[in-house]
Order: sequence, then structure tokens, then C-alpha cells
Amino acid sequence: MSAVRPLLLALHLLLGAAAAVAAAPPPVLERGAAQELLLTRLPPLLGSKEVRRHLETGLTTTFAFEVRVAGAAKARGGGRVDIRYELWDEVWLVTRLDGAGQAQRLRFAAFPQLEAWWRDLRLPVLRAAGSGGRADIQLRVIPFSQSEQLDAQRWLSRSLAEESGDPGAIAGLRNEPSEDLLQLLLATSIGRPPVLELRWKMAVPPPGLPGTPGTPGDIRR
Amino acid sequence: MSWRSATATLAVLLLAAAALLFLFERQLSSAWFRLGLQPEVAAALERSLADQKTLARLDPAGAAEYRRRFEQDQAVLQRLRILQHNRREILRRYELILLVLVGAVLVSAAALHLAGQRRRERRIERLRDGLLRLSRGEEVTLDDRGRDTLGRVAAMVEETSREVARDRRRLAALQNLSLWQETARRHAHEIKTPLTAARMELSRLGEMLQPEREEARQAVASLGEELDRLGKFTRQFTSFARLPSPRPEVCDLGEVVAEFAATFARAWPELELRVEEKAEMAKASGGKKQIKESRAAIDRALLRQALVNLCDNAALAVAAEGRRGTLTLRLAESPQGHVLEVADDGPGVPEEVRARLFEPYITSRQVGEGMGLGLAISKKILLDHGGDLELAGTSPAGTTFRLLLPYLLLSSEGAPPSSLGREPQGGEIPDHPGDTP
Repeated sequence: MSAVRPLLLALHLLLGAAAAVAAAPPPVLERGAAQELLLTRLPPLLGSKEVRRHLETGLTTTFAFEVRVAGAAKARGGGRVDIRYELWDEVWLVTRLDGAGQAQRLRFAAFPQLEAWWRDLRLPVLRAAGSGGRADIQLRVIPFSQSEQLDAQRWLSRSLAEESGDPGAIAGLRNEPSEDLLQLLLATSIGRPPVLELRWKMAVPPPGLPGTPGTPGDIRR
Repeated sequence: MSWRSATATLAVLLLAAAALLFLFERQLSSAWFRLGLQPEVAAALERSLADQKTLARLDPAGAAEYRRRFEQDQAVLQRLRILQHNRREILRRYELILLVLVGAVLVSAAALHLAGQRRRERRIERLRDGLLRLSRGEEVTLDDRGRDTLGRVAAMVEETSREVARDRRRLAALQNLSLWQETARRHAHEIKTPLTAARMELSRLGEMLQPEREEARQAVASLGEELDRLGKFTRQFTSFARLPSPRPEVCDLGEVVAEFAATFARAWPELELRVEEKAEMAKASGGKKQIKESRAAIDRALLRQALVNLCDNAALAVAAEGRRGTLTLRLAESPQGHVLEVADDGPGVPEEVRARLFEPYITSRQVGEGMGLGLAISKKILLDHGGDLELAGTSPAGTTFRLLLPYLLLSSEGAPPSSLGREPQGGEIPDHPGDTP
């Protein structure tokens, strides 16, 4: 029984990933005005059933892009988009963090507006990159933020420690080491595994006129 | 090392651990976890969120409170969703912790088992060496204080070794005394014949002397006295040489001691006799007088003779200091048998005599003041009883002798052990004179 469950889960993930990959066209890597690398025409993931379900939980869904350029112009960069649906006010709160460290906070009253914004998003991921080489782009969709993770860890820790009257292993984690290793081990088992992970390889567009797209390469999960 | 038993033990431990792991993982942890993450719970919370929003719309005055409740429920719902998302990892971690704990228990148990096995092997090896040394007649000390079977066997080996050593010492003492007895017997025999002839000749010479030869008569009388002294020494030789074997009868050692103290209370003007009961022995026997419970198979007359010899020595020792002393008789029990301690407050035994104290003709007194047979006779009496006489301690404050008498081994009340009921060796003497040195 214990051997069958992981197999089923792996099969499920494989099928889900295959479906997502099939439905997700690769983004486009372009040069910006300052020759920075931009990710544009992002795959329309927000509308997919799997991602939409997570978006509507009220938790902060993070779309983390990581770009690695191999070859002579070896470089690494990335960008991030955090989307949280405010359940009470029924608005979409978005935080965009680009590769240059610029943050932008946005608010959308409706999901179609959010989708439109996503479609038109030009996300700087690398300040400057030389010509040539290939970029490895990875997108990870993480269903909740670090602060929400820490909150859940504390809550689980408190629940575990309820009988002993202990404040919980996680409660004082930042100040002093916990005395209850067991609680700590269990509470820290809450991680942030991505619900979706996509990877593309494409050529880095040569420096030149802004808007020059790179050549898409192979797509892998 | 018994690898088979070690493997079997480890296999049993492993099975127990696996069963425990299965029970916790399948029957407890997973079930409770699934229960906590039931979809109905999330659905109920979602309904609650919707309800709070509806209520806030219908009752704007309480909107703040509805929002507070909404946020509370939302927080719970979101945490549950995070848990749901991490369900596999949490369970995996839980299983890992259990596995590590079980592994730690197994490793500890295996280490303990192996350590115990090695310790047992070493103890068995020591025991084997001890038995070999015991078979060679050496005294064995194993220092194994374990309370298990091996520890008890080791204690038995040590006890046996002590018994064997004690028996060897007793046998050596008996052989030595027997040699001395034989020598004394021959000397007595060799002296007796010419002594008798000399007495007869002296008697005839006295008859032949004229009454007016006063000086000559005095010389004959003086010669007769010297022959009498020689006769007395010969009798002492004889009494030592023909010391009878004990004719034991079952009696209360306490009564014998008390009777001795009463009978001989005034026998030595220099000594005050006391009978003392050891406090700890009284406590151990529930407050009863232990001295009343000490039944033993003894020859009362011979034991009395041994005690008389000890008292004689003590009396002479304190008399030499020109004072009155105390002699204490103290009855106790020991693993080897009844113990009767005879303690005086005399000046102690000189160091040069201590090593050969129980050999015949060893005495600290001047020549002519004693033959040094008293302690040898006493030792022989105790050895013949299956016991022993030892010098327990001596110092300028006093001397303590320990008389050891074996416990009564009876098939029925009153029947003495056959080993003590043997016929006397050598000639009988009508009484047991106190051959004081």
C-alpha cells in the first residue's frame, strides 16, 4: 500500500506536468531598451484550472522565474510575481519584482484584468547579458509565501505542543534553539514545494534593437 | 559469542520495531492526519467565509466583527490548505522520525546486547581460569559481584576456594600437630622407662641410707622432687600425645559458654569472666538472644579444656603486669559456622611469636614456666571438631582468639555428624588436664 501511493502520485504529477507543458507555450526572451533581457508573452497559466484553484485560495501564489545564461556570457537573473486574491474585498493584489530589484504593487478588481496584465507583462530578468549563449529559464509556481509558511509552521508547532503547555518549537525559533527537537522536525516539514515547474531553453537574443526575441529551444518540465 | 542468539534477539527487536512503526504510521498518524484534513472541514470553513461576507452586507454595522471572524476562519482555512499541500512531506518526516527513533533503539539494543555478550564472555573466561586455578589448589578471587547466575557461580567458586584453602590449612596444622604428638609420645616413652627405674633405685637408695645420714637423705629427697618434676613434664607430654578425639553431643553452645563462665568464675583470681552477646546478631535474630540458638555438636569436656587453656594464658599475661584483667566470651555466627570469640585485655602476643603461635613448645614465657602446649592442644581440639582456632587480633590493648565450630548438620535432632563420632585415637586419659604453658 505504501509503495503504491507514491507511484500513483508520481504518475499524477507526470500527467499533470505533461498537460501543463502541452498547454503552456514558452515565453519570449527579448532585449529591452537598456539591452536588458525581458521575459514577455508569458504562458497563460493563470487561466489553467490547476493554477486558478490555487490563486483563489486567498494564499499568495508566487510565480518565480529564474534565468541562467550559459556560455561565454555566463549570467544569472530572475523575477517574481506574487498574486494574492483578497477574499473579503474580492480584489487581486499583485507584487512584481524584477531582476533589477524594482518592485511594483498592483491591484485588479477582476480576474480578466489580471489575465490581461499577465499577458502583456514584460518582466526584466537580467540587467545585461552578452551576445550568444543559451538561456535556461525556469518557472516555479509556489502556492504560498514564506510568511504564510512560517505562520503555518507556528500554528502546527503550537498544536503539537498544546498538551504540554509548551509555546511550540517554532515560536522561539529565531531567538533560541528549541528544546523539543521532535516538534521542530515536524513543524519544519512544512515546505514550499511548487505546484508547477516549467523549464525552457532558448537562445539569448543578440544585442541590438529592442524587442529582438530569442529563438525558442526545447521545452522541459 | 553466541551469534545465533544475538541474531535471534535482533530479529525479534526488528520485527517489534517494524510492527510498532506500522501501527503508528498506518493506524494512528495517517488516520489522524487524514481526519484533520477532511474536505468537509475546508468546505465548512469556506461556507463560513461566505456567510460572514453575506452577514456583513446585510448588517453593515457589524461589518468589522464579521470581517474579524472572516479573517480568523480564513487563516485557519489557509493553514489547512498549506498542511494539505505538505501532507506527503509531513507524513514522510513523521515516518522518518519514527524510523530514526526505532533505528536508534535497535542500534542501542544491539550495542547493549553485544556489550553484555562480551562482558558475559569475559566473565565466563575468568570463571574458567578460576576453576582451573581451583583445580590446582590455588586460592581464587574472581571479583564478580553480578547477581545473575554467573555471579552466583563465581561466588560459589570463591567460597569453594576459601573452603578448600581453609581445609588445606587445617590439614597442614593437623599433620604438623600429629607429628609433634608422635614426637612427644616417643619422648615420653623414652623418658618414662629410665625415670621409673631411677625412681625405684632412688627409693632403694633411700632405704639403704642410715638414719643419721641426714645430709644424704636430704639429697635423696631433693633428687626425688626433681624426678617428680620430670614425671610431671612426662605426663604433660603424654597428655598432649594422647589427646583424645572428641565425643560430640548436640548441645547449646550458649549454655556451654554460660556454664563455663559460671563454673570457672573464681578459677582465676586475676580474671573477670564476661559473656557478651553481639548486638548486631541480636538484632538479626529479631531481638532474641542469639546465644540461646547456637546448637552444635561438641565434646563439652574438650571444649572446656580449650577454653581453660586460653583463660590460663590470659590470666598469666595479666598477672605478669600485676593487675586484674577481663576476659570476654562472645558468641556469634559466621558463614563458616559458630564463632566464639575469647578476648582478653592483656598486653598482647609478642610479634615474634605470632606466626608460630599454635605450634607446640612455642611460648613467650621463660624456660621452666611452661612448655607451650596449651594453644597447640586447644587448636588440635578445635580442628578435631571440624572447626579451627585463630588469632583474630592482638595489640597492647588485648588479644582476641576466634574459636570456629561448624554448624550442626543433622539428619534428626540430637544425632551428631558421623565425622565427629569416630572412636578416639590413642589411649584415653581419665580427665583433661589444663596443660597450661
